[in-house]
Amino acid sequence: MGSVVLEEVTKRFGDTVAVDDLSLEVRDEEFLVLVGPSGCGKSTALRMIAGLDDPTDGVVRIDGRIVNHVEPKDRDVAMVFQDYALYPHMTVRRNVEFPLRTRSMDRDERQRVVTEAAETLGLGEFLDRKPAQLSGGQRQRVALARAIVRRPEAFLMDEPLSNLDAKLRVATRTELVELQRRLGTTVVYVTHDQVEAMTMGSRIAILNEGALEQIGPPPEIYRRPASVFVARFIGSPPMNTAAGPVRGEPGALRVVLPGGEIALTPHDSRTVAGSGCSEIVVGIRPEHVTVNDAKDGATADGAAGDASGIPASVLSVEALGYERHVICRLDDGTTMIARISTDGPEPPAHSAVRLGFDTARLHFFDPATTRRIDG
Amino acid sequence: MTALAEPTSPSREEIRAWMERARRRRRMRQSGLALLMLSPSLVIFAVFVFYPFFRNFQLAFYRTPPFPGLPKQWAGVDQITDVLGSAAFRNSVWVTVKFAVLTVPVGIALGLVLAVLAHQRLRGITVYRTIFSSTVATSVAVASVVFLTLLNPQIGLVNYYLGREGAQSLLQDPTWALPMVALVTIWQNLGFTFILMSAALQAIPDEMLEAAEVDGAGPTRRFLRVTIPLLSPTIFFAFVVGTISAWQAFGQIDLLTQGGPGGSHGATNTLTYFVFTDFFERQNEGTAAVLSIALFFIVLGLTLLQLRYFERRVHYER
Ligand SMILES: Nc1ncnc2c1ncn2[C@@H]1O[C@H](COP(=O)(O)OP(=O)(O)OP(=O)(O)O)[C@@H](O)[C@H]1O
Ligand SMILES: [Mg+2]
Repeated sequence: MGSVVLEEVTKRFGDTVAVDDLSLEVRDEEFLVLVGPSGCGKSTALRMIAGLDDPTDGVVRIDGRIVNHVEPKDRDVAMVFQDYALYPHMTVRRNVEFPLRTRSMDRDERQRVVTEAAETLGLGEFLDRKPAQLSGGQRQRVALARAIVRRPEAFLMDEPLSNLDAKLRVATRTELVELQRRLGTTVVYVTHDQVEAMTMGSRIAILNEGALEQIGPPPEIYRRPASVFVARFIGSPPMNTAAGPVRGEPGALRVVLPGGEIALTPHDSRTVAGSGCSEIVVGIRPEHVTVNDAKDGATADGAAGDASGIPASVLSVEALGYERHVICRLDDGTTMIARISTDGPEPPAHSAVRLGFDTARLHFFDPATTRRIDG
Repeated sequence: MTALAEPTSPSREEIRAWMERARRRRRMRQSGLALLMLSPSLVIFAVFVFYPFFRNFQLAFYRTPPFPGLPKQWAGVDQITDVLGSAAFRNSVWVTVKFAVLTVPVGIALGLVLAVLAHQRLRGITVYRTIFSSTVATSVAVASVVFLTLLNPQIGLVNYYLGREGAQSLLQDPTWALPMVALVTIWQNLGFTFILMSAALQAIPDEMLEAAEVDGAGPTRRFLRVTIPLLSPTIFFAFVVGTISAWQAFGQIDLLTQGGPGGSHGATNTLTYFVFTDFFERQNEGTAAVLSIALFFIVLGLTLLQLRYFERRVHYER
């Protein structure tokens, strides 16, 4: 098993920069998730690790060895493609065997390995079928089996769950992580689904327009997003952000938002003052926003609230059964979403409310660089 | 509501019967319409295909008189056994078999090789693609004239490079005549085979070959284990079509060798050409009819054989 390292890797296709100066280390036996919006270069990064695309610039290492000029077949990585890329003319057994036949492994050994992989993935009864006779989920398992028989340095997976239905996707998510633990393999897993990223990765790397925004364990990414992009990409509904000028004394700063002000905690005041920004982007997660009655300040779910807070009007309420998302608009048109419990009456659409912010849970970003401001 | 529903409510059986009747009516109307729309082509087929086809069987039983104007004579199966037993017939079947064996596999292999070569993302590759497919736009006549010139004993480049200027053309050489005709045929068909194979190659997902590459397969293995099996339906199709067209080859033979050298036992006297000379030169409708019926059954038999024995080994997706 091995580590995978990208050092200042860039990939250009003509004028498009698919991957931009990306440095990334995937540790041995780690489950690293590469996540980002469509077209941000995830697949390209993965293909460069596999050797299917050549970097325009930079170095790729697998298990410490520079592999830039090593053919894909000699890199000892296995890849699971989004459409599985099973060989339609071969039975499941032949498909799974294929990587073993390319190296000289004797028949009995091959048989044993295939049977073992089929057992692991519950494919025993399908071994003599052709891929066309399998369901999407079964095909996905065949693709996985074909990858695990190799015992490669690393698994590369490009959105392997995106063709499955929602229920199967959730089940397979857990199974994949379990499988990785059992095999102790390094996995680089590409997805555009932030829930997959949060639940599967031991670490997450977030890509935006080919560049790395942040890398870290899921809880840290959620708690301390390194940029506005990460803050808004991870979390559902996304983090609310609003820009405004900073006012007040260094020890007691306020941020002026449309329709009102937010007073910062002394700690935050010092942090923001230290950054020297005269204008700032404030971020707050929907679960840290309360929706209060415009007049008496009672919160929407019934608790007594405060009558201060930023005035807003309710656009709509999405009831998910276990929680509600209240989508509001500030005076200047900025959208803010609050995530509230299902207790209490529903704030009617178009009603005027006041949004209360948990000021201990604010995030601050430099509007010029969009990077996080930290104490 | 209750007043309406109660007394008239039909039983399940009644509903089923109505639907059945409606379905039958619809089907009748549809088949009438289908017949109406097919009728123009049925008329054309009847006049130009079905009638001659059956008339041919009738001709096969009558001997054509040595001089036009004399009455035809009923010969029964005698004429058929005479023709099928003749050395000239056996010669022409053997020539056609050799011709098919020379043209079909080589033609497909060449077309495939060119398609694989042209299936690369290289600058200027479209120029090669155009060149490779250009013979589709060339008629048999043009191809034959080009090669006739190349093979001309006095001015042809072939004899010049072989150092045999002025000697007889290879087309007059009993050993080389058929291979030369085969060469022209291969060249002429190459464009079509190339386009066929290129289209099939393009239909193979890149991911499939990339997966094989990551799985440790080198170029040869990828080609043999992935590309070829996925191309097999196309190769099979090219094989069937190529074989049929080999048995029907005419233009190039007429222009290059007229079935010779060697007269009616000629080295290039394929069955189709034999039918042609029998009818138009010897004007013997009777024997020509027997020959063409033989040709029909040979092609039919070969095609059925191919369908039966090869199709099973061919991978069809889904
Ligand atoms: N072969 C190619 N030729 C030209 N441009 C390409 C090629 N492959 C990718 N690109 C471009 O590079 C960028 C990154 O593509 P990539 O496939 O890596 O995105 P992705 O993050 O995997 O997106 P998705 O989630 O939609 O799969 C895109 O802008 C894409 O258009
Ligand atoms: Mg992709």
